[in-house]
Amino acid sequence: MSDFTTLDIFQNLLLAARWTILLSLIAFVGGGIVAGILILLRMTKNSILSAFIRIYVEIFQGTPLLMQLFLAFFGLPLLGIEVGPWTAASLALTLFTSAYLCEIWSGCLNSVPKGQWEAAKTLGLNYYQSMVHVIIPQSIRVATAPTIGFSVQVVKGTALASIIGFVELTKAGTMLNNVTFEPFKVFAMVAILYFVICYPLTRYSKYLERKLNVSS
Amino acid sequence: MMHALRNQKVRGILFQLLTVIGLVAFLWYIGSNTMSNIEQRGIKTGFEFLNSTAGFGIDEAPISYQETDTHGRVFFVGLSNTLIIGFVGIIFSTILGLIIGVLRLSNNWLIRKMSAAYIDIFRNIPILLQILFWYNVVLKSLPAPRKSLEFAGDIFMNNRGLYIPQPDINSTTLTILASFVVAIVSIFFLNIWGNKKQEETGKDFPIIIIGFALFIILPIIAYFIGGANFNFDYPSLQGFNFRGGKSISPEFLALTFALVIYTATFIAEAVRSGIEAVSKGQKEAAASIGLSQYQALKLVVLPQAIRIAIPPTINQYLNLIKNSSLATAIGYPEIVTVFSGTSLNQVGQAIEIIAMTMLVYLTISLVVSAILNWFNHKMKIKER
Repeated sequence: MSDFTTLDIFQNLLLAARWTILLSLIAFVGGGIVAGILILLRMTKNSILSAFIRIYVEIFQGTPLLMQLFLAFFGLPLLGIEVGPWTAASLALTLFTSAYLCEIWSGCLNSVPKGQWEAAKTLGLNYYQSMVHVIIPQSIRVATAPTIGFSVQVVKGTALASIIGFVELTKAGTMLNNVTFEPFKVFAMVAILYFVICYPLTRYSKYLERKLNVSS
Repeated sequence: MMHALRNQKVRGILFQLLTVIGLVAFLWYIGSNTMSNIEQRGIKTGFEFLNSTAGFGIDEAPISYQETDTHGRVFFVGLSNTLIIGFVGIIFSTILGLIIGVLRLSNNWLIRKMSAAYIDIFRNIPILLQILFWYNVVLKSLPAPRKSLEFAGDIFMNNRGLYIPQPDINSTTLTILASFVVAIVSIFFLNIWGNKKQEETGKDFPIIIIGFALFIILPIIAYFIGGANFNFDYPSLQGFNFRGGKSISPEFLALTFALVIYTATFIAEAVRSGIEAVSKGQKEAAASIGLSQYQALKLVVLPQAIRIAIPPTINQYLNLIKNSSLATAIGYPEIVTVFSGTSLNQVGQAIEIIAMTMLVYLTISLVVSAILNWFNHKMKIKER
């Protein structure tokens, strides 16, 4: 069975890495959109909506991502929605990401000093104008570093999708290990591929953080 | 009517009402949909299954468990394993994280770079992969029991786990255990007393030396009080496997290794940022009022560094407990593996089982954030 050359293994892993990256992108973009909606809902200052969002965030931050994947994969069929690993993984990771991004971005919006709001109001800007022209541009500067930092968590989180049978990098690694019986070689390569994806993001996030600290 | 709609208060209440109606309708729709689906599949609902017989064995059960026990019992076996792995993981990751965090700021170039490399490598690789790596690559490639690796004569390691001598439980062991508890409690109170004394008189209370002394002297006294009868049960090779002593499964080892090594990178970063956050002026000010290096560390630097380092560290403890759910990938019987895995497969009641498991983690998370809030409140800079 073990007629896989090192190059074969590497090629197969590289192909599987596409799905890791694609799943990360889906989760990140989807999570960003959901987080945006949540923040808009929170801005309505409706106390019931705010409570709902608080519970939502608490549930997705307070429970393991694996349980969320299980809930999507085993729970949704009971609601009458048939889901495969792709849908379940995308959905669970999107909701997971949205809860964290919602918290990060809310924090950044709140970090803009109150004086900025007051100044915008003095200039005659209404709520949405001050938000779009004054508050958001300032908070984006603060938000970039933690957002990119969190994207590393998302990439690492996609590895869990392998447990519900989604063939991405980790699953491909375990499958290749089962046919080649060369765990060290296979898992080391998988680790290197993850490192190659995650390390630049970590570095970039740290760089932005330092730049922000120096300039402020 | 239009006039009332323009009133901000009326509008607010109206929106609240609409949201409630929308949420209730949504939940009702999901609920009824689920019920009809569950009925169609012939799956039972409710928590009756907790009283039915599980019928499967669990290798590592900290509380007594047999195949004839109920699924409710399985839940508690899983929960206790989760708590054990959480406890062990937190202790070791704190120690490793502290060491790496301090080394990260060492003046030695090589040590500094090596700890930075350690942090960069292990925090950028998914924890799941690290668990699989330790399990499949390191522990599975250990020799068979007959050719076990031997450490210090009585510790054996092979592909079935780690075997260590276990002290017999008798009056001596129990008094020694009790003496450790007494030592910890008395150090805690001595520290409070010492701090108070210091504020009154200005004299430094040597808590570290006294603490160490207590930790050594009290167990020695306890040893003699308890009858000086301290025996170990040693593991020995009988047939194809080891008997006696305490055996630690490869699953537990792999999980602990991976969780500790992964979490320690984050704790190390927290420790480093805590120490770095104390400005140089603080140390210089401490030196200028005549504090020794040790006093400056104890009275000026650490109190400020801890304030910054502890909240992210406690968050990492929470992450460690959540990550322990990945044990399911290698089959360590904690709550996700046995309850959300085996029990769920047998009973099929996904909603109840997953909800119960999520509730466990949510409870832990809420308790931890309550502790964190209490800490932040206590650590607030008090203006005097």
